[in-house]
Amino acid sequence: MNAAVPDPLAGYRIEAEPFYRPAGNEVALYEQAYRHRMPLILKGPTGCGKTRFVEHMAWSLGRPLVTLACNEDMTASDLVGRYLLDANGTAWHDGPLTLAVRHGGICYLDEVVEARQDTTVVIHPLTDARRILPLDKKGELVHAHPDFQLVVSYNPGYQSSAKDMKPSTRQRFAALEFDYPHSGLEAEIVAHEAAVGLDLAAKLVAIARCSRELKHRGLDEGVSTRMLIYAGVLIRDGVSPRDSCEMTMTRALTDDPDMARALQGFVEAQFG
Amino acid sequence: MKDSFAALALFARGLAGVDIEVQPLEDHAGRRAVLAGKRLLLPASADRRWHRAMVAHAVAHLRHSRPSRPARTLKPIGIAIVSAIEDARVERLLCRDFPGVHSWFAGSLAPAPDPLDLGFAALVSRMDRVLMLPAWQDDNHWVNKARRLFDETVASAGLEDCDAFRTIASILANDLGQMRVRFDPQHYAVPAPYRDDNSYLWDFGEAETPPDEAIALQQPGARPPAPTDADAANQGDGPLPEGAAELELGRYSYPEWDRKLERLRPDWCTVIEKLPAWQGLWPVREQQAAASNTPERLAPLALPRARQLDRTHRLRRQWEGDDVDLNAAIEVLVDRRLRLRPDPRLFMRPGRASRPSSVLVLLDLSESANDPVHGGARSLLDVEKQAALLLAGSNARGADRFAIHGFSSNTRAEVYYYRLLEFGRPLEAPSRAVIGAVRGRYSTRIGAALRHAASHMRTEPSGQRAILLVTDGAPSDIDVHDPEYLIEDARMAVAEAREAGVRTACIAVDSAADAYVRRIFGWRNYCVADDARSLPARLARMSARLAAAN
Repeated sequence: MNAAVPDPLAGYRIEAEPFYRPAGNEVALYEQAYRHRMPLILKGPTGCGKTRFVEHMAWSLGRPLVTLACNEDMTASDLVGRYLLDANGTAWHDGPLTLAVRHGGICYLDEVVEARQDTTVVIHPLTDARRILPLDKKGELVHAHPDFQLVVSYNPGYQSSAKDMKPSTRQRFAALEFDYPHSGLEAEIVAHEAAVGLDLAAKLVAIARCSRELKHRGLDEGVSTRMLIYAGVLIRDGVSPRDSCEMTMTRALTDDPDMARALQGFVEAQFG
Repeated sequence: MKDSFAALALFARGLAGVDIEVQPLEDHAGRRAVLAGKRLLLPASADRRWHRAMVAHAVAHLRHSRPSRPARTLKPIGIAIVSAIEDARVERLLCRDFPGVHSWFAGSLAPAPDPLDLGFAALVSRMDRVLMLPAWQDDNHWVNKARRLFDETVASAGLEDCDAFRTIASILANDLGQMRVRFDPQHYAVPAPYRDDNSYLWDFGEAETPPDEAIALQQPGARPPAPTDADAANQGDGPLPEGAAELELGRYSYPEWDRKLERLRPDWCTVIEKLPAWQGLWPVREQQAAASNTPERLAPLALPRARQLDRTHRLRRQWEGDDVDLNAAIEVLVDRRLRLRPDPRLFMRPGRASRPSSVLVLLDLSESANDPVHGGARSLLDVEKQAALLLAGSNARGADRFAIHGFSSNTRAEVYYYRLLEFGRPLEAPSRAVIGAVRGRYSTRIGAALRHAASHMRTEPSGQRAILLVTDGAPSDIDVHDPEYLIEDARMAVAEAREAGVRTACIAVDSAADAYVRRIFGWRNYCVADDARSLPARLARMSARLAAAN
């Protein structure tokens, strides 16, 4: 890149390698998809490592990563940009999606189903052979940079059918399915991220396994890997295992007194 | 302190990875847990510590024991020893996966017996102790032999190899025979009080009677009078005009969930939609009289409205927004040239409009609703009707679509469904009369009624669609003897409705409703009105919550 021109995506570049432990061949599959700039859906439960995975891939591919957490109030202009007023009149400001499209970043729309369906249709012309982004307010047609890729994440577990992706949106993506890693690997990840011993991590993972058995029996989702890392961090700092699990798992996960009792039971079954 | 049985069932499910039914066992039936298949019965009076140990022990069996092995070739003493060794083996396996449970087991063992007692139960109890507590010392040769053999087998074959443990159990049982220790199978109970009776492990070859699942359709008297029969109307005591009959509007078939088969039985229930018998306008006058007599005058309900983005409605001169409001922007530029302070509110964004919401109040019109409320003259049904009418009245002022339907059932072949107030109809005297005329009869088959109500919701504008069920008891019907069956069916019906975009909530006028209502409708989607008098307020709050939710 020409050194005279400042990189508009400099802030989105990932300098240090994000820790990611592959559970299968997802890294190779992602690299293949990226070679063809294929749009991707990452599916999986909360806190299983989808965001970390895409950060890791952006780092290893040397691409800037523009992340957007979607929500119901998000409008198309939050993605593509809008006119703002400055000293000389109105001036167009690119939205995060347009930035990534113009300058060749990976745009990651986290929890894409949270955005309203009429907002997500702006990605349609980007995610087929055209690879264009029309900025209708500005009257410009942005052709995607050859390095641009769109990745969205989505959690099929807890959304009601009222909030689902339109089939026309879905069909534009290839999908990678994520789940919590198997016990041994998950314990390694928790041990690494929380900097705790492997045996403590294994106990935490065993609690999480029990809680995941209660999915659809009162829990939308079980204890996630991220929660285990939180618990591990608190235990490392000297908080008692019971208190840290109570704080990071039981109380965080449920308001139902019976469910809380059951979760406390799992903690006690590990830590006495 | 105690955990509820629902909490224990969740706990057991989490540890075992399979669904376990946890149910209370009446005290006169003994103080010991019983594990039968995937059903665990726990003595109701035991406290939390015991319950946890009992559940953990049962989970150990479910995870690691081979159930129902033939017992034919074994003598009773052999069965007792094999069971005791198996208990120790599966508990050790469980402690390996869940280190915390060791203290629950160790703290719940039988008290150490008198060292001079060399009876069978005392020896087994001592063996339990040495196998559970590595530091425990015992001076009995047989007990120490048991510990040595057990440890050797763990080292040589591993804990998973249950046949190896069965071999050492035979050796130990044989030793006891040679020591002439008397075994009295009639009076022997497993010494550790938290352990079940081990009937789970054995198949004694008795012919088991299959559970009776027959639907009692053939029973004489189980059938109601034909729907057009004037008998139906005679059950009431109001003045009836000649020829008053319920008009049948249509018949619909719905599936029903069979929890044992774990599948839907297709076309299992017949919902018969009817109009209640027309009885003139007298019930309206009676209602008005009753309402004016009630001491608790009910204030009209003010309901909040659900709102959503509406692009046809644009808010101008906003601090933030998608678009620049051109008129405001021009004023800003003019102000700048004039060196005035411009108004920074120059954006436009879409406004919010209330979204259409359709609420269907489904009244349980079963026989039990005729019970008087707290000794008063009014029946629960009257209170239900009054609350629903009040809610309808407060909705009538707004744009919400509102309907009142009711149901009762008499076997799966006849689930009666009354459309008392249709969506979009004004609440006028005829509707009030129809609502007043409907009576409580028969039973409560919630699942079929919910499915039919959900099918009505399908034609409503999408937005907020909700069914609010008002009931006074658990689902039941005379052709169903398994109390869980209709609860599970109703739970499935709620799940189906949710998938179709219809929220379901319930108000139960039954202080014991907690157990089943939450199972059916889910956490947050129900409330229990202990007192029927609080029903109108709760109904209003629940419908407001449904309308406001996403």
